[in-house]
Amino acid sequence: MRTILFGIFTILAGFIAQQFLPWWAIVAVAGVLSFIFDLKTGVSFWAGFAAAALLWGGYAGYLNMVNEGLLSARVGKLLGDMPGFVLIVITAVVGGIFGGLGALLGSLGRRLV
Amino acid sequence: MQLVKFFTALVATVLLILLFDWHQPFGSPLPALGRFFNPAAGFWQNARSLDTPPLGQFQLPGLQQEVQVVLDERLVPHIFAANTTDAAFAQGYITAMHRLWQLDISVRQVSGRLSEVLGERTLELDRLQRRKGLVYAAQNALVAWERLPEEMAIVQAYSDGINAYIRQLKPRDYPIEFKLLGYKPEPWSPLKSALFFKNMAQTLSGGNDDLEASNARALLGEALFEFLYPELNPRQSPIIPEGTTWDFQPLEIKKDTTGAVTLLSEVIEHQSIPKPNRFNGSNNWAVSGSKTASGKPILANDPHLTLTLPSIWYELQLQTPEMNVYGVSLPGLPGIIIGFNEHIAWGVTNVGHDVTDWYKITWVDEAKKRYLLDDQPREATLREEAIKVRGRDRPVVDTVRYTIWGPVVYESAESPYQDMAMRWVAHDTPENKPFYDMGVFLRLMTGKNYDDYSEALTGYDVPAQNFVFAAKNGDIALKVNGKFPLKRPQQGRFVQDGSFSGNAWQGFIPKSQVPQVRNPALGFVASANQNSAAPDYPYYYNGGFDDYRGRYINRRLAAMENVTVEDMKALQLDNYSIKAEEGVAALLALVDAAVLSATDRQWLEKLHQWDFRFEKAAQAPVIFEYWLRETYKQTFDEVYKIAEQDSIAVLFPEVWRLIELLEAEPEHPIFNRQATKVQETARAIVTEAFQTACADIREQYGSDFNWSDYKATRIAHLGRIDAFNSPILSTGGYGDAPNAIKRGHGPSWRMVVELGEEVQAWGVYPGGQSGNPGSRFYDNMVQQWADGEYHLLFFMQNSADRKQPILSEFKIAPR
Repeated sequence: MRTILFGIFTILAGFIAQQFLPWWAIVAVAGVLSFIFDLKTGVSFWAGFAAAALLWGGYAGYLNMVNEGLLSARVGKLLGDMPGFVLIVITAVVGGIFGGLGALLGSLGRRLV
Repeated sequence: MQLVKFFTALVATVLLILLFDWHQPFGSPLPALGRFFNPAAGFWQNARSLDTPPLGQFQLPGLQQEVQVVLDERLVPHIFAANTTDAAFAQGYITAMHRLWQLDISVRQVSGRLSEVLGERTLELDRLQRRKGLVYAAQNALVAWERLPEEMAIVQAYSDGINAYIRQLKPRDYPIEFKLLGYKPEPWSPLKSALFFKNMAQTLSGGNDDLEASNARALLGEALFEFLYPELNPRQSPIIPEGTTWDFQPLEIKKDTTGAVTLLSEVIEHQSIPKPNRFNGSNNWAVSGSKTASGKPILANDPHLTLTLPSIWYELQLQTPEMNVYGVSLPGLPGIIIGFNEHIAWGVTNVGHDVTDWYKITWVDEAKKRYLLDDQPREATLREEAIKVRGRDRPVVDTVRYTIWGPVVYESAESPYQDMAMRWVAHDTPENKPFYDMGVFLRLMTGKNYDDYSEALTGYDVPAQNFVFAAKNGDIALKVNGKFPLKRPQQGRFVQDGSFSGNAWQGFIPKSQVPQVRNPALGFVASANQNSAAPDYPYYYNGGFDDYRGRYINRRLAAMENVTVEDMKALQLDNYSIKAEEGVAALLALVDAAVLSATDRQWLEKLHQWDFRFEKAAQAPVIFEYWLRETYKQTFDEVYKIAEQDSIAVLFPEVWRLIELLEAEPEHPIFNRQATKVQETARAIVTEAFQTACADIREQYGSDFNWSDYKATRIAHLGRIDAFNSPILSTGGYGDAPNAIKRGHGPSWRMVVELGEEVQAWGVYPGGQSGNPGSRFYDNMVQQWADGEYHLLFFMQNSADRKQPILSEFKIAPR
């Protein structure tokens, strides 16, 4: 339950934070929330990963859908003949890694105090 | 232990962040991946529609009164403003909204500032732009603009409009190219508009062959040079019809000036700098009501330029109490360059006059501070050019020396005392005039009749254009208009000695004496970059002139009666070429079919059957191209030897001259190849060339080939990002046919205007209004253009006009 709540808050806070903060704000958001929710170190990375991946991948997927895949088709071609949806996966993974690292840091930090 | 774990994770995270925030990591071309993939600010944000403002109503500082903008179904803005400067402001704003990166990169390119964002790979390009003095030229133009506050106000308002848009942007809104290349937009300024204007001057009036012609003459000898490079193609049908009377007293040209008339006869040991595309040209014409079905004049124009995405043109309508005008603009300049209003229409093609001459500089000292002029040392003006290069701590500094001729562009490594300076009309500060470039186009946009058109052109200098004109009242006209140097015969054809001031141009042709015609008896006027006037025009000029399109257009227009708009579209889309008509006849007359193989004979038969149209599915045009090219190479082996074996820049003869020689002098020794022992004539060359051509085609394509596949036309991205190119298009067309579609070059805007009671116009360009590769308006007109379709242009009568559906509208109020 706690993990799920962490996930929901991370997505919400992450979404807001990214409107005006640099891309790596997701690390801080997941970190602080992981600290507050006191996630277990063992699950923290994957919880952060899942939340951030959902946020990044979901947002990218939404923009891609509204755009009918026009841009992702061209950018996919640019980055090495990838179909557009692969870019959504990459986006989710990049977001996930940093969300996961943030959550892990928050959890480890909590152990220190 | 916990502490170690924490810090390990922390360090790993920080390192990863740095890695993903690194633009072009490890020397790769990749953008910073974290920034780029971040859906809230990276490239995904360009998938949002950025083509329309988020609000239907907003305020901006800098406007005087409210402006209304209607975006039609093709994203063409229709701007309704209370005055000219507000219209220019809105034009700047909306141009920036759709074409911001194009604005940025084209000015970087012309001013030699690409390396600032692209790094080492563009350093030589930048250095050349600085040496050619493009910034110097733009500063001089701005000096003139600044003399007139009302003109400067237009340029300033346009600039303010662009900057108002830029100020609204968050990094997430930047065009995707900024994100890929990792930099951000910087403010616009009037100087940048002047730079953009000079970019057009460079593209259209930067052509010259002085160096190549000097070398050809020195190495081939006077007699062979005169034989291979006649100045005049006797078959050209000039822009201003033969028989036009020159009712003016021409200025006198001094034929002999002290010690100066010596033509240099030495070889100029330089490789030549890149030149503008020699195909930059265009068609335009106007047909008088006496020849049209409706009894009203029709005007047509299609400028041929390098085709890019986004396009060089941006379509729009401007309406103020003084004007209601529609047409295409150049992103970077306020106003409309080619267009029409409720009274008149106008269009342009390029004038091929050589207005770029080269002068050999003889230095007095090794430091190259003083050069020789009329036996006296003269100080050069030194201008330091600091080129910022991304990835370098300090800018690269280059010193460009300015002489009385202009900047020293060529510096010789081998002979430290002999360089070459460039004399170019586009460098000059315009003399005092009642109005300048902004005033020219404002006068055309607000023009009502011939007098307005004629007056407007008196202010226009560079790049020289053939301005075609038609008015509702029935007038048609054409002026070869620009700043043309007064030259002695042959002057400027070759590199000249810069140590004699007598080698300078002797002034300029007065605007009232440029070749021009109004309402000729023929019932039409037309230009396609051919010679300006018949040889009886009293002034000498040289340059690069088209040989075939102009003849064909004149031939067709002369034959046409009851002309309709559809006829004019069909002529713009006509794939017929006189080059093929005459070239094929000449080649077929000489080829010895008896020695050909059976399959080669079948291919020869295709040429016998050909109608000389470069249609997309035809095979004959491919065979013709290969055959003519091979014949050319074998015939002019003397010239190829200089270019290829000796690596010396040299002029190549024109194709019309080859065809003329095939027709008239097939026994001439020029057809004898130097490398062979036997004596050859054109017959042997042509036959062998055909066999080689067939073998080459077979090797490359087998027997399954056609003109469109061979030509492989596609519209490339302006910044050479291949993923943003158009696909390869299926099209006909040929450089020497009216429909001059080539591989990456061709009709960049097709327009036909009928000046009836209600002015109606049709147009299309190979691109889209939006520069965003994620927009559906990025390339939405490309296929229509390739298929030869036109749009009925929505010339709105007022802001409430809804005769065509619209996409959206918005209002900008002053703040």
